[in-house]
Amino acid sequence: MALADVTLRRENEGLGGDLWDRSAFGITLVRPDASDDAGGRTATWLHVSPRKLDSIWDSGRAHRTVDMRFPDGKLFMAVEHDELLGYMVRAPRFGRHIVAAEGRRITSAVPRIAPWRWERLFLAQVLPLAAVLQGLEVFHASAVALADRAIAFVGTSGVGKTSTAAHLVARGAKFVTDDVLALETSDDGVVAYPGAPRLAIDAAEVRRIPVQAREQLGPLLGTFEKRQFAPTPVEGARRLSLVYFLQRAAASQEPRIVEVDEPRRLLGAPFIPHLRSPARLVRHLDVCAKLARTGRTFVVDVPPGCRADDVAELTLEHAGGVLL
Amino acid sequence: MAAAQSLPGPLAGTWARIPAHVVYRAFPHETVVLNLQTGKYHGLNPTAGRMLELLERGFSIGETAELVAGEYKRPLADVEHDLQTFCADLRARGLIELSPHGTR
Repeated sequence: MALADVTLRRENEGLGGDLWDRSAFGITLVRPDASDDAGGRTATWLHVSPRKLDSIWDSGRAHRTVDMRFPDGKLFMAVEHDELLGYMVRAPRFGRHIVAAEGRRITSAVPRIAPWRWERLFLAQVLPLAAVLQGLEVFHASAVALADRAIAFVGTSGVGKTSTAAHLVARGAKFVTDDVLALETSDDGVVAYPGAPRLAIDAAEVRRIPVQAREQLGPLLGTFEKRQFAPTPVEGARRLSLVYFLQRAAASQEPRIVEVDEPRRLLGAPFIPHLRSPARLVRHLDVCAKLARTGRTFVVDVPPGCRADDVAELTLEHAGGVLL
Repeated sequence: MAAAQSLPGPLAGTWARIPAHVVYRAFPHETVVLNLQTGKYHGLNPTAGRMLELLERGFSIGETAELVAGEYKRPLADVEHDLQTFCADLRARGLIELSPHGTR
């Protein structure tokens, strides 16, 4: 481990843990003793000891819906479902969380490590699950805001959603979310809610961002596989106007953007796909149908070796032309 | 998926009902049908989407064929054949139920 990383970790050991009373994915996290008049969608967040959590949750009664493992067979993440109690999300070294069936209460037993570390599971899986249970729809996407409109980037893992969004933020776009996008239909379209104040990006991509522009990504919390930043999300929901589907295109020489009209592309990008209740499936269809009518969708062909900052530059120019 | 089967007898006086576990939404150039029991999406072209919409509104299969033939200026016999095949396919996928009684 590089000395710089050690120093950084010590300096930032106390960072994170700032999620109380903040909103992400359309949900405001409130303390157990908060008054009932917080307004909007809220989730009461309670921290308990591991022993207390064990007394609440009976894994023998629950049904395991997700079991993700490392190549060596060790558990990466599991989700269990109990019809009465809700969902248990757990990952070794990242804590365990019970999300009540209606998504309005989260009970967590977190490890004694820097908050920004265990918050990764909480923000990437637990809070989005609560959002879905409260009636929002979540997609596997990153997003920025330009000209007061949200622009989303959809694609398989590793195709460059986060990197493209990060380069756009470095160029002046507002940060909306990284990897998980919460959406809801409105009278005149689909609105995108700001996500968590976290952005995880490869170190190589960070180096391609001019030093002065890196401030736009927020404080660097540390490194865990990737550089973990804490950008400030845009305030309030924004109408989602453009969706870019990033895809690898071996035959292309240069990145290019083509408008498409394929509902299946939208339908195929749900986050938390294991949650397939009828209500969720219908809501997902509703959001996609509304988005197809009120937004525009494009495919970005990304050739091998194409840099994310080049994709960002191309989409910035394209989105500017479409929106303005 | 079960293979689509020919429907027995003339369907002019038959009605199609969309079960509670099936929903559909119109997209700009496609209708997407969702079977909530299987979680599967099914895509329909605009003509098929229009047929489904008319069937859900309570028109019999015969009435739907006449309306679609008029709207798309197609020979009635061709539309009846297409609609019969379409209904057989939807029924095989559990997306409609057929009834000798209308609800309109």
